[in-house]
Amino acid sequence: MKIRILYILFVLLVSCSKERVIPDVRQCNLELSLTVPYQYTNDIQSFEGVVVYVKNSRKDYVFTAMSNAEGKVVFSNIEPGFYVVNIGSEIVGVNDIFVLNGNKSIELFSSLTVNVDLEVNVIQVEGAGFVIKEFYYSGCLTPAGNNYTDDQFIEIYNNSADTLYADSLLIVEHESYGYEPNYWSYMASDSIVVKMIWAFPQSVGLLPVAPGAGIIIARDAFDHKSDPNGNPLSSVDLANAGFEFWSDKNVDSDIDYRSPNMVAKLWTFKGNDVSFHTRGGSAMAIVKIPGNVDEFVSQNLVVKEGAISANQYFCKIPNKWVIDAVEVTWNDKLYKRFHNSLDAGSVFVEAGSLSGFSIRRKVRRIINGRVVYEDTNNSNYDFEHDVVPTPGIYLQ
Amino acid sequence: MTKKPLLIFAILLLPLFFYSQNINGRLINKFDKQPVAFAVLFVEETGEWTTSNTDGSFEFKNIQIQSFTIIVKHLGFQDMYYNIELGDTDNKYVEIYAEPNSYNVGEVMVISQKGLQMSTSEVIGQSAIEYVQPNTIGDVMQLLPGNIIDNPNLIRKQPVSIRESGTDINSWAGTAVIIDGAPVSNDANMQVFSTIGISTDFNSINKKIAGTAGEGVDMRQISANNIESVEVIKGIPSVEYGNLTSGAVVIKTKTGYTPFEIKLKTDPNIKNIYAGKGHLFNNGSSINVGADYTRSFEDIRSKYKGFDRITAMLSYAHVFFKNTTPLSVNTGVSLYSVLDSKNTDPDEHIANEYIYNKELGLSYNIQSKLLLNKPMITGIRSNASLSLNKQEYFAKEYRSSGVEKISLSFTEGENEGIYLPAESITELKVKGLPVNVFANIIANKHIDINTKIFNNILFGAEYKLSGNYGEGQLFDVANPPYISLTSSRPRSFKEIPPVSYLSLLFEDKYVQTIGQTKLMLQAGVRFNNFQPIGLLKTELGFYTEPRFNAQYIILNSDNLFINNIALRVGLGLTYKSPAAMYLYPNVAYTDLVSLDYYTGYQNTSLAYFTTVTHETKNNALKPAKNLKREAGVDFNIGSMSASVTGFYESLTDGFGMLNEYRFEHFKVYNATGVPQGEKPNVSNLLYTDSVYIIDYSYPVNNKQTEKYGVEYSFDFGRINKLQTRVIMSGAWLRSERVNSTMNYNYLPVKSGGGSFTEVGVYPAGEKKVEERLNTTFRFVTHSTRLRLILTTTMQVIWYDKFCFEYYNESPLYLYSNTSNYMPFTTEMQNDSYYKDYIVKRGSRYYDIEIKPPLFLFNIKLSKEIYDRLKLSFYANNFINYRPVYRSERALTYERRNPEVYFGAELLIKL
Repeated sequence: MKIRILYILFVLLVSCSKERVIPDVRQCNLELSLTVPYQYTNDIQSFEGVVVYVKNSRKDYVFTAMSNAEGKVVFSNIEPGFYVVNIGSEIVGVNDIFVLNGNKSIELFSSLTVNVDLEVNVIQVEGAGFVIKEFYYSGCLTPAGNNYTDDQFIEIYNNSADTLYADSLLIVEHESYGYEPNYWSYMASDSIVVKMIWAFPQSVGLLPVAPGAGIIIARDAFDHKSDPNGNPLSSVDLANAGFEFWSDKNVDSDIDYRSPNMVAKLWTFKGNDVSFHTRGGSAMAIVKIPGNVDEFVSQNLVVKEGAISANQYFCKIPNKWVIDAVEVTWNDKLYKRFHNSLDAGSVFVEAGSLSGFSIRRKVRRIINGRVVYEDTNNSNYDFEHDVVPTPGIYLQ
Repeated sequence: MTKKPLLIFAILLLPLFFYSQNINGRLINKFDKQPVAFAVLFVEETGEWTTSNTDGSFEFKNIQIQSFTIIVKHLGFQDMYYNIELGDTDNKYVEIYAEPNSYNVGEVMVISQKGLQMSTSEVIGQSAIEYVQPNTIGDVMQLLPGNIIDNPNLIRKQPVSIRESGTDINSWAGTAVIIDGAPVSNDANMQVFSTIGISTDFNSINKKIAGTAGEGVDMRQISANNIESVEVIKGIPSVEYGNLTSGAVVIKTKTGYTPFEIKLKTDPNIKNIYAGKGHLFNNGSSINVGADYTRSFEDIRSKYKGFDRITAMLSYAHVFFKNTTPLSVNTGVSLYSVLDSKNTDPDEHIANEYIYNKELGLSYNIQSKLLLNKPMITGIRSNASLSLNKQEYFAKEYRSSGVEKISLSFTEGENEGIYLPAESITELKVKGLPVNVFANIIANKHIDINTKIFNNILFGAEYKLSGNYGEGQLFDVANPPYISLTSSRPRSFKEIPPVSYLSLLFEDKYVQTIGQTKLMLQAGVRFNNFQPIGLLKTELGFYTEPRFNAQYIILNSDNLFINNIALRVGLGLTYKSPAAMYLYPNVAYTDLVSLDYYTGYQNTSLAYFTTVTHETKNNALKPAKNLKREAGVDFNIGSMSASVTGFYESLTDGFGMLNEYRFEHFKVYNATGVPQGEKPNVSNLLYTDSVYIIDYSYPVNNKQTEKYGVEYSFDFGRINKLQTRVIMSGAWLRSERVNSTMNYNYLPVKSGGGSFTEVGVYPAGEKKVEERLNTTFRFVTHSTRLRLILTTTMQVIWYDKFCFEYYNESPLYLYSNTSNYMPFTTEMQNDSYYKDYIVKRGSRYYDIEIKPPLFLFNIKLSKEIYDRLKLSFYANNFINYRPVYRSERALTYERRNPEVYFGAELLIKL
């Protein structure tokens, strides 16, 4: 009898075991609520179909979801961490296409409801104005394994259906390299600050650009690929580039090739030649400054307070004069230079510096043999990256 | 009548004839009571010397002063100082006990000691040198008060600086390094790519070559294994030492008997093996031989970048005519070979690259000392040496700078150049062959006025020549390794005249005993002829260096509590002649571009230049000058001995480089309109007359440093219960360095388009002030029973501060092509065009940066195992204290203190 009781007790003891609760890591909910500025609430009735990307910055995976009509989107049971929300979508309205852009960084430690303010850009179906079609900054290697960056270039393109005049366009580079917070972020909503302003030379006159045509501005307008003095590992032939950047800093350094030279209106860090940052530090834009550019530059210089190095002067340009901008970043950092209204996203060559790849706009559509490139002011979406440079080639 | 002066003269000299003593004695080993043979004994005051016989006996004849010190120096033994006070007895017999260097006898000196010279100096004896476990003599400098301990490193060049808190080029070049009486010279070192384009910091060029041209002696080339003692003269040196500014490091190599020793030393990056022996013959002559090999890597994970060194020496010493006029001759040959190399990392993409820096040095040296004791001359000593260094820098590297255009011309005028491909493998060789010849002869006469006053007069002459007979810079002009605005052309060093000087020396040492006190004065003058032409004419100038040292020993008695106080004062002037790199710099070639027409085809492209040349030699170059003043006190209280010295040194006319700007006129041709497929012909082209501003660097005397400081050293004596001696030493040092004492020219870069057409002249006087106070506490525990010595060192840097003094950043005036001088007004400071001329500093640039106190703990242990083995070990920063310091001024972080480092050494005596 005793033994049986013991047996029963034993069975009970064994069978009753407390379930250990293992805390579930994936247990936060993130709810996003999308809003647009006041003036667009009538035009945009429904947020249905707006794609929202939520990317975990540390672990590099992305959740995608679509918003409902009220602009609410919920991500359930995701793990705590640091996230970046990115939205880039179009809503076809009555008369216009509304491009919605937004991004936000979120620190998620427990369930959260976040409001994401969206920028709205109204664009026409047809492209408008000049865009930066391609930017090749990463450079490549030489046969011996050394750096070769002489083949960098930037290409602008007439995305509209009319002939436009490029003579007053200015190519500028933002002052911030993007590996630390933008010193000028306090004014980013209405101005950009640049360290380099290049203008087309007076000698070319009005410089008309036909629809579907573009202008290549090369660092060295030289056939890098095939010239015996060049680099056989480079993929570009820029001998017929429209213009080139040329420095007169040291008399015998930069070779002045046949192409006409751009004129430097501001070049804070004047060197032997223009050199773009190969890892993605050069954020480029096209601007148009009305009136006398030299006068404007001299009256709009700003100073960055450095710690011990000498102060340098940079130029401040209002956002309203920016025609196109591309936020080129480093692959693992995002310290934005341009306000979301100019470029809500970012793009970079994932293969890294010296890979020989460039970034290029995606073709939106081809109308009558003429290419119209994507221009939603969100380079996350608009640009292809890690492509072999194709200067001067528009129809893929 | 004529006899009267003779009589007076004889009367004055009478005391000399009456008072004359012979001192006999025996030198005995304290430990085993055996006689010590062939040791050198000398009288400090008179310079008389003798050696002990095989039975240990020695004799000094005709000593005419009453109180003096006998100094015994012998390899393998501690230095002995024996004071003698003579009464009126005719002869005196002394027995001196010498202590051998082994750990089971008495106390072995493993720290630096105050030197005996009148000038402030520190002596580091053999035991102390070995205890540090040094790889080079430079490592031994950490024992000096005020110097900071650092980890051994053979990858960077090793400077030596006296009374400095960092490395200053002029201070390094101004430290004379003397081995066995002959100076090691770096004056003829020309291993640079070019002296042009160096601007004000010539290290940027030297970094490519890893050379020390224009700098001081690289201490890595001197192994510490063969060294018997090092004396570092920090104060005003005797006139025997010249061509220096900061001081001298006097090295004496081993002579005498040593057992056959093998030493193996290792630490994380450096391995070293040494073997040496000193053999003593029956007649007292000795032969010493030693050789060592050192291998070091920058990072043991990547064994392709390293430093190798081999040194070897052979010397012979003998005393001839010992009983009549002893003549001591010491002669030797030494050799060193250094290889600094960097192969291509096999894991890198860039294959085929190879860089090395090789140096092979061979020197022959003969030192002799003769004791005559004649009426006109007491003794003569002389040194002569000849050394050759074969230096070779070789770099096979890719030049991958994109397509370039260069001129090949060696003369001025218009010429056609070539276009270079984007990448090509190049070779650069810089082959130098500096040859140094040195000889000096110094005679001394000892004169005693009476038993309490005596004089030692010294007079002599010295000559040194340093020339470079190497092939120089060798590279293919059509495939140069680097391209710069002022490209250099290859230059042979054989065309460079040698650097030489001829000096005459006079010095008198006067010693007077006044009751219990003693007054010693040493005054001398050194007349220098730098770059002599014959004997009486000079190219660089005649320079006179007066030197004065005085010491007054107020008290010197063993009876009182305070048993020794001595006051010291010194004042002196020294000069250092410029090195060959400054006296004979490269010619500056500038190739201005007259036409840059690149078509992609060689037969139609044209790179056309206008070459201009400029001599950069500065005929107004002077030697650097240093005025040293110092005062100090030494005292003993009970068992504590202390020494405090304050000094103030002003170095003026230090060597540096400045930029010279020139407005060059040349033609710029216009090739528009030349049809395709045709090469342009300049005689048919239109041109415009253009002006371009070029610059090149030239040597000047524009550096200045004012140094103030107090050095202190307290030896608290030995705590017998702990068998530990406590020593506290350190220094407070403040230096004010002026970057340029001359106004300098500078053309700023215009941030807008185009360039400026006026050159700015900026004021001199930009100054950096540094200050540091540090103390090193050493606890030396010596157990004779265990035969070990353990040293625990705590180094405290109480504060370390520097700042730049406020400096007016605007130019004084601007000058243009037409030689108009335009003063820079206050309106121009705000003008948008002229604003770029102001060298603007950030808001924090003038902030004072003070680093907080820092502690460093090191430990050293050395143990003798029986009589034949000694094992040593050291660990630096063994608690791994490396605090992070945030500089508010520069917004950077820095880790202070050297990394944890350790090493071990095994010494085997056979």
